[in-house]
Amino acid sequence: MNKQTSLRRAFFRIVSVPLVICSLLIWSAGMAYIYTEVDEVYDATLAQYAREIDHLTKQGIFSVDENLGDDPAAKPQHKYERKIMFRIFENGKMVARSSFIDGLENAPLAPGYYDRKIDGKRWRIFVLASSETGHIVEVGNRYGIRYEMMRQLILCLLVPAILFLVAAMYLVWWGAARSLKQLVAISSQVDTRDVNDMTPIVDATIPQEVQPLLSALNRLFARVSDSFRREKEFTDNAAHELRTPLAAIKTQAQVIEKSETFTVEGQAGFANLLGAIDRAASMVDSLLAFSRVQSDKSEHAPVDLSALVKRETDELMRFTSWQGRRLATDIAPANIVSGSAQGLSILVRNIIVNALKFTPDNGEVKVSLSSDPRGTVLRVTDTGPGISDTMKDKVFERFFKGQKSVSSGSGLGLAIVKSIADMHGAEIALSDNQPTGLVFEVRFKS
Amino acid sequence: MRVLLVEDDDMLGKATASGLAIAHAVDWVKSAEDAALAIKTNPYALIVLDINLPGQSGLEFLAALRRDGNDIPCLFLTARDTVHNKIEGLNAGGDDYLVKPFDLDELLARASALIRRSQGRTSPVVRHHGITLDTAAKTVEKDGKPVPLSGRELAIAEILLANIGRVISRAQIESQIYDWNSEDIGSNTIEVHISALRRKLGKDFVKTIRNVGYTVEK
Repeated sequence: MNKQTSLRRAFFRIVSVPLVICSLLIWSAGMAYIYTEVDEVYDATLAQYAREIDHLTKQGIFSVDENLGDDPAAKPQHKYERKIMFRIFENGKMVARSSFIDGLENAPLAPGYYDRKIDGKRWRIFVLASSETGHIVEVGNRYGIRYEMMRQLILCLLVPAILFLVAAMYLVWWGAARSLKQLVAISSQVDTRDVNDMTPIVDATIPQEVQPLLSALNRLFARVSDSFRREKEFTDNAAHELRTPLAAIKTQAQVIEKSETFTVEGQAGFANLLGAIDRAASMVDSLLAFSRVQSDKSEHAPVDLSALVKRETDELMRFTSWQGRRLATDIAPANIVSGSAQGLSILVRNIIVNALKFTPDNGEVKVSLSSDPRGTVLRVTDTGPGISDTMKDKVFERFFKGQKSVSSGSGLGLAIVKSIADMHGAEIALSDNQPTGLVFEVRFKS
Repeated sequence: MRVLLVEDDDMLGKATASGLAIAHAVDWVKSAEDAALAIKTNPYALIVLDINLPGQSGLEFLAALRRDGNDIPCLFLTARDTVHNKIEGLNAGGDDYLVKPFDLDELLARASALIRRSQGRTSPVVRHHGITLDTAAKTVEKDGKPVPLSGRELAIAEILLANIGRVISRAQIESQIYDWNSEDIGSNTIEVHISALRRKLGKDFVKTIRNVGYTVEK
């Protein structure tokens, strides 16, 4: 299965990955710079200290005492005290040193900078050989001090950098959604369209990047609408063209019927012939009705469905061909739905006629119209053979005939019903009647 | 009565013409132009007009006919059965319509009704001095007893009874009962039919106006 691509995710990825990489690079470069700067500052400070101490010994500010700093009871006044040291040598002999420093060989180092490990800790040591006093001054501090400083600096930079990244990524994510909003608006516009609405989508606020897609969509609309119209025209024309030869057959047959005398078999054959002609004619009528229903663009208006169902059932009950079959009605008054009165009449009539067709002699068809909070329901129940579950969807296909085909059907009646129901946003449900028969339900949403 | 059928389709035209011929003299033309010519030269009681014709359409032909002040009854045949199509036909001057395919009996009944109304009658039955002519059932009774008439005799009786008190010339009768296909036209054919009518319906049924024609007196 193909993973569905997301424009928003793609956009986010395209912008955010370089953004993170760039941020990391800038931040790393900053870190490297800070590292060398801190190093230099501390090295410079060491040299400064060394000169300061040398200067003080020259002034004789403190007496040189080799035991200085050896007081075992002495405690560091500051946590960093253990991390700084100095030693002073006179004539190769150490004359002074700071406390808390051991583990360094008792001999002066040559002048310069050193990295030394003392008691497992790294130190940076600067050695100054004074030309004036002849003293050698050693000052040093632990690298830990520098690291601590660097850590603080890194943290100071890292927090705003992370905040910046999070904010930027959020802006990208949000911005992508915002600019895609118009696409979503167009799709919802397409979604809520009437099936027959093939007019182009016009949106002045559409971004120019989306315009080609919209134009292509509109061209597709035009093509679909064109082929749809051609199909309807074809059906319409074909049906009309069929009517003339059918009229010729029918009229000629009737002329012969009137002018000739037939045997009993001949008469029966003739009746059969005329019946077949009428069936072909009614099929043409159904085709035309179907094509007409599909192109019905009449405005929907409030229709009193109760009155309409009553009128249709009254009219159907007058048909003598349904004699022996009862039509029971239970119509709740004043159910108003929005729709086309003509289309709804055809819908109601076709459903009831279909039910009557499949109802055995002396059977009953029940027509009920009721309403509940979810809408208005037309329910037609027959006592015919019913429809198996596998066939329930197929009955709405054009020219479908059930296995117990009734010869007079065109196979279009229920396709027309479905088409009209769709046009009214009504839902059709077929279920089994007990013990036998079909329950045909049409629900008009309120 | 003489009927003009305007229908371009060969099969339907032929079938409809023979169907109408059961009750009427029928001339069949295939275009509006031919129909215009036929109307100028023959007295028709009715036009049966197909809407969809090559060249000038049936509707245009009919509208032009009505503009010229011709109020001959017109029944139009249409394959288009929307309300709009019907209204269009009626507004163009049609008196009635049938949607194809139609029932022959319905066509004949509607044709007769239109002819009847154009003659100022509403009932298909004409009663006159003990003679009853049913133009729908094509039967004649004299004093309650059925009288068998031939097709031509019946047609002539119908014309005369539709024009009670008026003198109808032989030529007028001929033009209404014969169509272009009739083969029984002779110089004295009408006279033969008239005398047969006198024999069957009574001597006084038809009066001969010398050198003018025939009349059924009031």
